[in-house]
Amino acid sequence: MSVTFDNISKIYQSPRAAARTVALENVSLDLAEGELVVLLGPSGCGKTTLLKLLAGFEFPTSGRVLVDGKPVPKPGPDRGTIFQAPTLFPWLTALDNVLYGPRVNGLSDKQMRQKALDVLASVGLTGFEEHLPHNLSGGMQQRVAIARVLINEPRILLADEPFAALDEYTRRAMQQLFLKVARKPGRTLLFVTHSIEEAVYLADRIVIMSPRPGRIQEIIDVPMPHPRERSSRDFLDMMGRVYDQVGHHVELDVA
Amino acid sequence: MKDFGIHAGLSRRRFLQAGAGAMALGFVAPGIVRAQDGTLIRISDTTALHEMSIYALPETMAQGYSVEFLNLGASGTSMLAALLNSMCDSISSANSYLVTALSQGASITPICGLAGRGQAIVATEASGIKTLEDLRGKKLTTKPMTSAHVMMQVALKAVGIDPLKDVEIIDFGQPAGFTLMLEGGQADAGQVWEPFASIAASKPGLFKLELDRFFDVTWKTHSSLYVPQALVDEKPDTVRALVAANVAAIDVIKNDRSKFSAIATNRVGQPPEILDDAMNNCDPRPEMDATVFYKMAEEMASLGMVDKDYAPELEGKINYTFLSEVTGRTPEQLGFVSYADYKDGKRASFEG
Amino acid sequence: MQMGMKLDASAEAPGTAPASGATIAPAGGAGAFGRLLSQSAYALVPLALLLLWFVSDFLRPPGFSFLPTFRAVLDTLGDWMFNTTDGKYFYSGKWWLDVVWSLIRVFGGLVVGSALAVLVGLGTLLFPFTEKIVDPIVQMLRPVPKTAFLPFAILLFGLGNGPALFITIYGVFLIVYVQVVMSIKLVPVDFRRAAQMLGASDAKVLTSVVLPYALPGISAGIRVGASYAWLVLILAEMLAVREGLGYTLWNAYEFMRMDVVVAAMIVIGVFGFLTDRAIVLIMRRHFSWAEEIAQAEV
Repeated sequence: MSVTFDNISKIYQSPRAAARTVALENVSLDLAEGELVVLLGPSGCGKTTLLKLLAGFEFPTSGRVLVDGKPVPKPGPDRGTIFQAPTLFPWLTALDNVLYGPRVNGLSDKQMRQKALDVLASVGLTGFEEHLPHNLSGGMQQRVAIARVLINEPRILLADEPFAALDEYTRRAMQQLFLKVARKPGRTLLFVTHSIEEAVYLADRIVIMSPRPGRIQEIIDVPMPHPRERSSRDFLDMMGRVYDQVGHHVELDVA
Repeated sequence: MKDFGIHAGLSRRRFLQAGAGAMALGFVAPGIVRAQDGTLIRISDTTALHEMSIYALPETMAQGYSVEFLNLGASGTSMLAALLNSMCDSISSANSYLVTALSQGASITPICGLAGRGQAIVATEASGIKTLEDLRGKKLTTKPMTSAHVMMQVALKAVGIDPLKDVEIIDFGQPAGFTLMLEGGQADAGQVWEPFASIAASKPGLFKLELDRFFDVTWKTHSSLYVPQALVDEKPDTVRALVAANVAAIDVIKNDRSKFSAIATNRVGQPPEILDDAMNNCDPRPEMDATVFYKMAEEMASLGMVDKDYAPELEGKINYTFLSEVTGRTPEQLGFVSYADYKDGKRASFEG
Repeated sequence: MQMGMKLDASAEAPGTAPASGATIAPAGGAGAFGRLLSQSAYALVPLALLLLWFVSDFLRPPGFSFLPTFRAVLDTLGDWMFNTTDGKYFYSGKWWLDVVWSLIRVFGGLVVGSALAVLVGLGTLLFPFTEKIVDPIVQMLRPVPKTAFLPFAILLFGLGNGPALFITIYGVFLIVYVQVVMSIKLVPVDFRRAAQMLGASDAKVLTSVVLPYALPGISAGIRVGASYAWLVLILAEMLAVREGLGYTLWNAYEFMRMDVVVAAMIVIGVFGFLTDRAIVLIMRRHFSWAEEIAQAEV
């Protein structure tokens, strides 16, 4: 499933203020089938906007977002999205949350129940199927969020800084989990983060973006094999390379 | 609802079904309850004691007919609307009602008298009032635009008081307000129909004022049973049955005091001790005194209650036919007086 | 050595401890009694008032002469419920009929009015322009006394239950509709996006995500609507019907039986309370999750 961002511009015009935000300006990017691309950059660089455009939550002001040559329709299970907040339906159990997609698409519980249990097992939540979201930790909620997206077997998986709100330990565990369950032959993954380490740990390619206006600054290939050692020489070198690129954005603009 | 993924869907639907069922029951059940045999005659409830012979109608009504009572409130307007919209077949009301209806272009017909008396002026001892003449200059309470108001005006005029200049008239609102205003001293006296007059007079410091003289200077019959003229035209048998039943009902409450008491107590909710006085102040009788109609029309015109003097038009509108058939008496014996004779000073034959 | 953490789920789970403050009683007899005790605490104030009233029978403080005595009202209530006077008064033994009819009207009006409000409220999400049409009408109608429509309702629906039901539905709708729209608007957009992303059609998003999320707020609206339904119904029972708590109240008021009026007021109050409890019980599963979240410690 090829994904193409063709000369995308996205401009937000605030109705109240005269403010006009150029979230993206003339951004073009191709995603190859099966690759894990990480969008990396500080806030305001447009990385989340780009993801939303592919998901179908927003529309480009100009340019096109194409999947297999066709413009992206409204949101659907083919472009499963994991949000920064788990956004689980709080009145449904973990299992019901996972079964939401199949049910809403007309599939019977009899068919899908076992599959839902399997998916939950794959993210390590066996025994927690009947828990309500607010009785689960943040990390576990994100795992349910991953499960409910995976059960629909999306061809494209989008993740919008899904681990940003978790503690360091949990975050690392989730990154491992992500690589284990989310990657699948033929599935294209687009992952948004502001963490250089996370980018280097996950990505086949890192798309470094810069703000004002939002655009692609640099694309770096990460040909390292999985699993990647975070303290290894190659890993740290790569991080250094990326850091050099984003370096001048690290200091805050205190103008 | 399984794709909702919420079990709640089921309880919501049950809730809705319960509500719909309740509504359906509410609409259908009265029809079931009402399904009695024969022709149904729907009569409006009354709060006036002297009209309560109607509550004996279920017993005196002939076979093939049944009676149902409707709650139309106390407002003459809503009763008229119900009558004209075929929601109601008959109402009991004062003789002034014919005039009110005519002034609104409605065609209703009195077919049978109900009672005389049934009204009273109640005064407070504190006001020092002892005779009708003492009402001059006082604050009087009544329900404007009703027959009580008309009757009070006639009484005042009869003793030389100008009802528009020599007294102050206050509206008592709900009948309960009549007693409250007299007790509270906001009025010195007032006129109201039974049983409220007796309820008021039962309170310490309140009493009925010169009752017999009051009726002497005003009139002796007061209320009638009305039906839409359309009912007379289309279903004369029903009207006849109603009149016959009403004449019998009047006999019942006139002759069987305990029966009248039971009816009144049940309807009013006040015990017989209080209603005794009220029942004594009622004179159930089927006559319709035409001169009372004419006089009411003239008074209402002078009070500005209606746009003109309808008295000349009333003569043919009072229907004595059915009453005459049922009682075997002539219209003259039942109170008919032509308008011309009335203007000449003639009174109804039973007035003597 | 692997830096990653083992995916030990049990180490992370905060457990299923109920949120503090939630009324989940411990199992066992002691818990049940404790629950009964805490529930009966609700009755403390009403009981105290009744006691005060009973005492005032003997003291008769000035200015309260219009208040019927406690025992008079009790006697009247007995007659109303059990016909202790052998059918003497219009209300004797009629309590059950009055209650049933008033309940039918209130619940019929409440359920239909709420359902309509939810339907129209959801509709404004599907078809945004309808809100611009419905809202001004609702806001204009709200301050107008509902009973002013009674004469029109009678002409439209005839005598009987029609007008009372209509007025109740109408009154409930106006109240619940505003609450529905507000609750719906408070649903975070991300939930709707998540539902869409998972494959829900626009209508499905409304029924399977927006509605459940908004139900706690809507439940609150329905509770308010219920008390309003009683209010409006009692007024509407002034006309067109010959049974019902309102009918008995107004008829007694007309003829100055204040003890009947007070008895009716008490009965109406009790049933209003029970109605509210019934709603909470029925809707509890729809908002308990929100309560637990709100009461959970961060």
